[in-house]
Amino acid sequence: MTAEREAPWPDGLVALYEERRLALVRLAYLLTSDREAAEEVVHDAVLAMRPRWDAVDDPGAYLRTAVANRARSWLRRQRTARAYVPPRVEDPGLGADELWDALAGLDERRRTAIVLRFYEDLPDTEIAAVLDCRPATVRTLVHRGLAQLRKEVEQ
Amino acid sequence: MTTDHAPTDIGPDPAFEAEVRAMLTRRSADIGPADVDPALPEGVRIALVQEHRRRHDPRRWLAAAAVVAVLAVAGALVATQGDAPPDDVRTAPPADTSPEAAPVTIPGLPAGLSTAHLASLWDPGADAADPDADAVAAAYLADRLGADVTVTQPVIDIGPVATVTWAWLPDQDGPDGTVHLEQRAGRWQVVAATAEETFDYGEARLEDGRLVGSVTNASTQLWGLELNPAAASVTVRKLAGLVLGEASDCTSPCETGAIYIAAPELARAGGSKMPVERGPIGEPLPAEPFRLQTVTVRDGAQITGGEEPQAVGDVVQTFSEIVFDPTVPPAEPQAAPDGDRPGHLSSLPLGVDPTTGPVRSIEAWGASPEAAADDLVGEAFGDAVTPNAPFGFEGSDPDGLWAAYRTSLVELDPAVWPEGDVDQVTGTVTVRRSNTGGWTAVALTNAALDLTRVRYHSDEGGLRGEVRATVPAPLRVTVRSTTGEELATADLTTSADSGPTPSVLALDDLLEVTDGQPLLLRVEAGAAPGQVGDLGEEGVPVVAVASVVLPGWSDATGGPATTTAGTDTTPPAAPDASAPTATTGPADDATAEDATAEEARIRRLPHTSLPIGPGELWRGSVAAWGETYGDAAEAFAWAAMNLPDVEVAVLAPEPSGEVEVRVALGGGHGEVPVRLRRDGDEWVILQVGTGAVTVAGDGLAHDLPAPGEDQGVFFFAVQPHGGIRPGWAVEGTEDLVDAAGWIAVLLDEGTVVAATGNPAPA
Repeated sequence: MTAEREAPWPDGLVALYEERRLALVRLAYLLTSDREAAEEVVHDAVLAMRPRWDAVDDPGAYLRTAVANRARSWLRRQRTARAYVPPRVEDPGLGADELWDALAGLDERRRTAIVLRFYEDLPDTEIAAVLDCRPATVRTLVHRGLAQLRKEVEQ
Repeated sequence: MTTDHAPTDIGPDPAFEAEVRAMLTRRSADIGPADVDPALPEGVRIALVQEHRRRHDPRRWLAAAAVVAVLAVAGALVATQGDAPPDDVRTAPPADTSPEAAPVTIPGLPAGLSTAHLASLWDPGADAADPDADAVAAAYLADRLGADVTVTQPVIDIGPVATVTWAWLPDQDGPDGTVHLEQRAGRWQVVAATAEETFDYGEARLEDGRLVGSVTNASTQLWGLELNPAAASVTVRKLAGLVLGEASDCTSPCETGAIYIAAPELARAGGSKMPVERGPIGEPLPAEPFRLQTVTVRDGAQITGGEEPQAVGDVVQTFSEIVFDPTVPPAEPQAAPDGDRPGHLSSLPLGVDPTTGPVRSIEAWGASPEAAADDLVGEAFGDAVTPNAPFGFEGSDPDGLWAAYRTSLVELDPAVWPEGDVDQVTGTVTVRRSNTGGWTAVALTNAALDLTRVRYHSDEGGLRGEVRATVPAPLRVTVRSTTGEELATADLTTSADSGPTPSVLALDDLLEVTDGQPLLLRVEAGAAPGQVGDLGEEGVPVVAVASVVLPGWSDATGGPATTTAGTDTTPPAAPDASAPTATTGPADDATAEDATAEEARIRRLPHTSLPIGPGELWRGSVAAWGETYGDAAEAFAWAAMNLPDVEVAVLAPEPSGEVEVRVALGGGHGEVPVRLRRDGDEWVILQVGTGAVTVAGDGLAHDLPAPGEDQGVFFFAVQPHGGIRPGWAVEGTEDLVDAAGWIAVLLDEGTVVAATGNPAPA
């Protein structure tokens, strides 16, 4: 274990994690469709935030952005595998959910835009900050993401 | 979660948006409070990233330690030697000639070009408010093809060049295509555009002011293709392919400088390629930019002069556009250097052929080309850098023994993360197929560094040539043995105002590689003075990279010498089939012959086929590296699943109720008999090939050799989509119910010694 990990955790970070962990894991889950990955994404984000805690102005937004970015990275790394391996059904007991399945078919940018818009209810400017793009691009991503979802469901 | 956000103002469909909201809220409830780890206890590790399995392998740790040692030794050498370059390397001032950029490979457009030959098709103008590549591509498409074309994905390659995909809007039967852009004068400018179904100029090339080669069209929907250069118009169901001259002021086919597809009428030939032109095309091209453009429409009234479709209802069926700049002389034909072989990859030093082995594997591999490329990216840059885009296929050899994938890399700067990506490198990863069915990475390069002027001279047994860089950054070139000995190094300082003129690092004196020591030719560049450092070093944005491991040569044929024990970076027990004389290969004549035979077998084996021959149970000894049996089995089976064009012929049922199915492998690679029997609601597989394969009860019996100690048999279910689930070996027949097929492998300490299966769709 490194010295860094042995250092005390900032109280604020512990409190933030306790307060937001469920919401963040849910957000990561919506972005990845993978429970375990969602938890890892959130944990990694919290771990990475620890040494920078004092320099962060808005910890909540920072952590959300970190989670979204890490989830996108996870999706990117999964992409090549998906070319060969169909995603395993997360929980057969949940029953069919065509829209959920269609969401998994979106690329990570569209998916992130859709989730942040319709789950987190973020405005375009904040979504743009997460995706590092222009607000106009966010609208395009949402528009195309919705169109793709609708097309998939209708098929 | 609230749902009071106003519906988006584009594509309004409040009902559907509400449905999406409801779905997200519903699915978020999949994660309940009990599913989340308990609150963070102070001082206790809450989670660790599950490292990639391979990183736990002690052999890799040893390799990593060796690399660290190499870097430490190299650093010490640099420190003691100061900045003085070794005698065998010197720096040269920037060349005063025009840059000779690397050839571009744009599907459907003439080959052998560099971006320097392409004039701008579309320039947003100096007054544009810094539009990104997507916006420039969209504006270009709107101008050329109308408003019904949309950019479907953002930039997939980021760097000095970008590729944007586009498509006709939904519900319109138009093509998909790509727009290629390049950053010039600080702006994104379109340099080429193509559609998937277009006239294919890929077999044409620019030579002595002429377009030489052939033009083909493989569209399955084009009927009665007719060129009408004089009338400059076509009628319904008469489609035109026009190649226009003089882009400047021609609105109709110009006689001067025009080059035409000289085929008056061609009928569609079953969707196969149709030769449209042979031999040199047209007169020498005018010494001013000219346009090569093809536009065809279907069901439209006419097109004029290659302009965008005019009539309502016109649908662009094919489209491509490029503007040559003949004032830029064509690149010098690359004379075949010593040791050069067919299949040479442009990103590698001349004389280095990834197909037959003069490139050692870098410590990266995977079950698929993309996985190997991804592994190399992670290996070279560490976890701080992730591929920013899907690996785009760039090229391969006809036998599928090597392939190149293009990607962009994003380095995350801890100082600013997660605000955004701070630096990006677009590069190419070259991977080579191994006889494990997997792939190993052999090189990582990007366009900012040009190694193609470094040549291996087999008669002299060394490297000589030039490393060119077009990055405004300090540049360090090091050549070192894989044991850590730094054989050559030089620092080169360029300036930001040097423009596209490359800086040249000359390797005039022969850099001998005859001692059998593999060499690591590595070029790295930082983004600012004083920031040259090791790749992946924190705080050192990498803007250019090239890395390739060259083995030593022992004779004039280019065959690599034996390696130094302990320095092998290839996967253990994984002799590279595509490199039959590779450093991990056989040592005596007998095994050399075996290796040659193995090479021949592998060379005949397209990477998309299954190594089960007609009517036979495949047996062999193929190395498949993996930390566990499962890993190795995965690597083997994963690659084997990549089957094209599988057809299944069901023969008449026999009185016993059994059915024999013959699974024809695509591409004329034979077929495999499979016997099945109906058992209740299921079909069970009795036999594959000539060996008896029985599925019974909860267990799986088979005729693979009985596994001995340290051996194991692993079954994998083939999913309907054609893949297998990694790490999910079949445990019982119930796992095969929804499977399209299966594969079984017997492994002996990581070596596949036998395999069989039925990968065909049910």
